[in-house]
Amino acid sequence: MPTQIPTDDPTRRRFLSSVTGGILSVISGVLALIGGGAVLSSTARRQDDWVPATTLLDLPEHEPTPVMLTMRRLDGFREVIDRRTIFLVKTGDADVAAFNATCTHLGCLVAWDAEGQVFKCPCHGGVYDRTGAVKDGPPPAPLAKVATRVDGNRVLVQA
Amino acid sequence: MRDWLDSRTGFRSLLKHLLDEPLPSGVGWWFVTGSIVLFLLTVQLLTGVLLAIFYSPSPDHAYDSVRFIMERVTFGRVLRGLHFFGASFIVVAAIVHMLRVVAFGSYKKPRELNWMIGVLLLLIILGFALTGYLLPWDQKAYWATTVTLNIARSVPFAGEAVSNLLKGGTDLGALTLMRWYAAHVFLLPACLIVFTIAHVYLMRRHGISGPIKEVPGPATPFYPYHAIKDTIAVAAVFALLLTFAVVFNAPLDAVADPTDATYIPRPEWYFMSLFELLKHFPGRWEPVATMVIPGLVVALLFLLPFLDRRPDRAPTKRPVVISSFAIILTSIALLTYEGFRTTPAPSAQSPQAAARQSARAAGQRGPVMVEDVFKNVQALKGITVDEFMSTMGIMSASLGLCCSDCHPGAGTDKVVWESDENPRKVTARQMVLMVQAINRDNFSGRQDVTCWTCHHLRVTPLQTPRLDLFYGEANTELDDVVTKADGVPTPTQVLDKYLQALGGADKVSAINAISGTGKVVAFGNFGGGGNFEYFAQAPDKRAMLSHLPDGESSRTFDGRAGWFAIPLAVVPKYPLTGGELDGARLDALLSFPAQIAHSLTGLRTGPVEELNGKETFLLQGNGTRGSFVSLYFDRESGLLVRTIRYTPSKIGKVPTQVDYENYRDVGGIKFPYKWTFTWLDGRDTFDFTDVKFNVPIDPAKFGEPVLTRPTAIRTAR
Repeated sequence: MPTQIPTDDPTRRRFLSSVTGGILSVISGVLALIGGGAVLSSTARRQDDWVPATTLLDLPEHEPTPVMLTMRRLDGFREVIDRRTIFLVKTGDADVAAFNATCTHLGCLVAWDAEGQVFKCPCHGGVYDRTGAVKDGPPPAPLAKVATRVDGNRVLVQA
Repeated sequence: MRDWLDSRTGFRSLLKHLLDEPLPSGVGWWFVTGSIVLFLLTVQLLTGVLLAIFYSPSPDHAYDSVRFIMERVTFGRVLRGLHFFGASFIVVAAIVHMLRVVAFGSYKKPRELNWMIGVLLLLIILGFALTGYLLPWDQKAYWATTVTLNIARSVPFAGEAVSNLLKGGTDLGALTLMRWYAAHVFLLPACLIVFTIAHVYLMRRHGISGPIKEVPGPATPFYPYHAIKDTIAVAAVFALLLTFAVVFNAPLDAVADPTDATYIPRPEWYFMSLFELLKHFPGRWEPVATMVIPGLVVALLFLLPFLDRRPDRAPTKRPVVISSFAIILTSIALLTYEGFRTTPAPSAQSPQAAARQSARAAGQRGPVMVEDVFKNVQALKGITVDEFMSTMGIMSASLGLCCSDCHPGAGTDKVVWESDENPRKVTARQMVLMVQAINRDNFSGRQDVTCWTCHHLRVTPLQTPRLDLFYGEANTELDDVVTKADGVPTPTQVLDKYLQALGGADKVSAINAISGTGKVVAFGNFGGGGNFEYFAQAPDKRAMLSHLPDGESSRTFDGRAGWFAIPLAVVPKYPLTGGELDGARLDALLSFPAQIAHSLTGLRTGPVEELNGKETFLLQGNGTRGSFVSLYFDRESGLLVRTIRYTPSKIGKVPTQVDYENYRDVGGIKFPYKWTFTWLDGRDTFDFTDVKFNVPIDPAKFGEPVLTRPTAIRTAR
């Protein structure tokens, strides 16, 4: 059967095409918004929390002290417990500095050498001073600093 | 760019071929039904893929992942709503499309094969509905699938094999879920796509059937002259579907509980007729409902073009076909109606249902969920406030701790319940998850391990056996659930002796109302002393109203709903739900001694137990939904001296104990004048000064308590 175009073409055809395209675009847009929102929601970076680490009374003056943080973290629909070691250094009456204990070279955990007053990495000999700056070895960057806050007697870190 | 693409692909001629299909004159709105089905299938595929990004097909995670979608994923609630309600929309649209084809006689030569493919597509859509049902792994999913698998077992000769094939083993479990998931997201979509392409191809090959009577006039191209009708219809359907998805929550029941034998599943509306049909063919006739009748209907559908081969398309000239469809559809509608009428909604049976019901009775829109009241709840989400408070009680009673041992400031007006400052609270969460994992991985989800299992009033469980205990007295503690012991009286004998000791069965049976007043000492004097009123109305109304210095403390049950109110508490008043509601009902029923025998099921007499230096007969019986009661009767006097009722909670059983002493005569019937009520959060002592039987009681006493004075926030312990 041959196609016969109605006589009011092309204006009518253009108008109907535009309306059809417009409606389908709106439907597609709504579906894309819902789908896009869902897919992107889990990729958004979560707000970091302040986690209580220790109290000022438990920190010796100017001596890096390792503290293991235990944090709840949502891994999708699961809640997992993360443990992370940081070093806290009391630098004043109510001032505390914190370093991530992970070596910036290849991710081993550094240890405080009280005798040499340096952080040493057991894996490839990276050495950091008490401020976290690289003193020796292959680490490409200083130890990562962790934000701290003192609330009364409590020391909180941003994890 | 378009020219380059066209020169390489020829897409313009393809589009022209697809869109410029000439349609006969008079093709109207009835011919949009196929496009609606195609659109809804596309929405289902799209939303299905998006849901699959977050869904985890394992019994351990399926439910949590669906909750995650509903609660955490942006637009997740709408996304699942589109998929859930889309399933119903698509069944309706497919049936409407099929009826349009039947009414217009469009299945006739040369379109017989396309009709058969259409029937196949309808079955595939129902297959999607069936397999998708299990995926949320909630109570409804689990028990509806259990029924489906039992239906499969009714297949003659090969029933067991078919059922096991569907289950992937002998039990409904992880293998079943993965099997149905694979069918839902791989096998059925593949079949759907293949047969949909074939359906559309054959539709194009033979052209659409058009109006029943030829309408004179020129043919018009599909695009845009009919496409605009399709698009408007699709937009209307999508608007309706989106409204459903936004306004209504796609249901998610409690997590699947294979031990909850009281749950009566109710299938979705499109399978309700089959479910109802099954009731009319019990026993060996079951295959008639499960195989023969549905098989005949499907066979008739498939063979329709060959059974009705005359060229007439007008419905008036096909009375047999039209009336057959009318009869089948009416039968399905009647069976569906009857099914809904006779099968209570699962929401009217589960603890959540009881919660909703009691909340409705309490004038609230829904149960008071813990997330609605407290901030920063993590490991114990999704339960009601009263169950949550019970779980707190289990933890504190197991470790011998007070609220303030974990919640800074508890017991003062500076309490911050949501604070995680105290590491014990973080540990408690980890322990809840750990215990749940232990029970799930080792005890099929039964709560065999609880806080009490290890802690026994210690913060840190003991690790090493104590040799002096090992070589000392044997531990003769009874299990929570006792079994029938030898050499003890039967439950009937124990209860008969009890009624006799009270004053005789006739006198006791005549009691239908009890009123009492007296003095109460609340929370071991921590809550101070005051007066109390006690009311019980047969068969199942009860109220204990204590007037304390800090306000009213009430436990009421009006036969349907129950409430708990306590002054200076975390939550001053809340409706009872789930296990606590069942417990309140049991308390009310057992208020009347003559009702004990028929209020409990599975009554058994356990071994003789020594209580306060006296031998007692321990009678135990079951309530509803996992609750049970232990009743201790003095061996010598026959009188009831203690009851302990156990109700389930998310982390273990919640015990509530009442000790009865000081029986005195009231009009020839003995009544205990001293009650010691012990629960996980406290101990109250009630000393009756006046007791009356069968006096009128104001029904309002059993209703929602009215708090008479403002309450501050303080610990409930």
